[in-house]
Amino acid sequence: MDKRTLTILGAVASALSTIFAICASISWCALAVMKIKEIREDENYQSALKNVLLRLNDGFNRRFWKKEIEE
Amino acid sequence: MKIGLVLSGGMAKGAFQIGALRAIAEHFPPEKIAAISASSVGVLNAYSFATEKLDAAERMWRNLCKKDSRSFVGKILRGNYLQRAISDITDPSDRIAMPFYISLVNIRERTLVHKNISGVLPGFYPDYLRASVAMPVYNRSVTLDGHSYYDGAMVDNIPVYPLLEKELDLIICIYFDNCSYIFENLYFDSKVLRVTYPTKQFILDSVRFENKNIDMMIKLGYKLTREILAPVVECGDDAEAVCAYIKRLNEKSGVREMRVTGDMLVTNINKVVSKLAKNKIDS
Repeated sequence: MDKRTLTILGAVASALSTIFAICASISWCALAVMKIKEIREDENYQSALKNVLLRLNDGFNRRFWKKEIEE
Repeated sequence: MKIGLVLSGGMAKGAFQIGALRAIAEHFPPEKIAAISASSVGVLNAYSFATEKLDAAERMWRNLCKKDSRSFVGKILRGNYLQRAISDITDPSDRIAMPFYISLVNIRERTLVHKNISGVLPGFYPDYLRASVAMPVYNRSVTLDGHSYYDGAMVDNIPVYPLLEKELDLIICIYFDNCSYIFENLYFDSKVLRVTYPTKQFILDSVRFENKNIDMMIKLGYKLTREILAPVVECGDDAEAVCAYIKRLNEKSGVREMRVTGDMLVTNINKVVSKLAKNKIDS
């Protein structure tokens, strides 16, 4: 094979791999979105989220500054 | 007329308060002050005022600058000298006659304490002063009554809170960020006379422990406070006239800002999280 053919083959291979990478990223994102949707509809997830929020709220109440005047 | 005094923290800018306190002492000596609340370096200045040692405090400020450090880091580290300088203004015979609140933070218990040190034994005054200027990382915490404390200015730099219930007619508030804050509620706010240090170099001025700068701030503090206090002195015991004067000053100052303190921030974050949690639980 001459040099010109090799260059063209290299360019085609690189374009194909870029397209493949983009397609793979898009499908991975689509899968991730679908999975998140699925998880959000799950009751276990909702109760877990509530749990986290409750704990966070409890933490804020308990942990952040109390103000006191000591006479 | 019942007068209160509030002094904020501000490291090297604290020298401004010495000048301001000199001007205040000319018309309102310590025995005429009903209550004091201070944080950080303001505690040292207020203590000197309450124990009639403003000369010693001025000397303390000048001693801090004796060895002028040229490097920025050196200037910052000089803040550490504040703790060591406490012995210049304290004496075993010191007595504080009025309620004197200092702001302290207990990081482990997440508590901001406004401690009235007029009630503690005079021998413990230096420990409380050390705690009030103990900056985390710079200094170790100071253990008092079994709790370890740091400088309360980290949570609330202008500690007006302890004076809310004192039914004062005038609160002279000395702070450094040149903003016309709205304090707590409108009734209380109408009694707060603001003395601010006009600077745009808020951080740089905090670490400028240089003789020239300290001198300038003491003089400026005296001059500005005299000017601001003159109409108050003319009002005599007429609290309503003083309120009217403060109202005029506030109108002149233009845009007024809500004060954002660490305490206010966490209270509001807490409210948002509570609401979010409640919505999610109800849904």
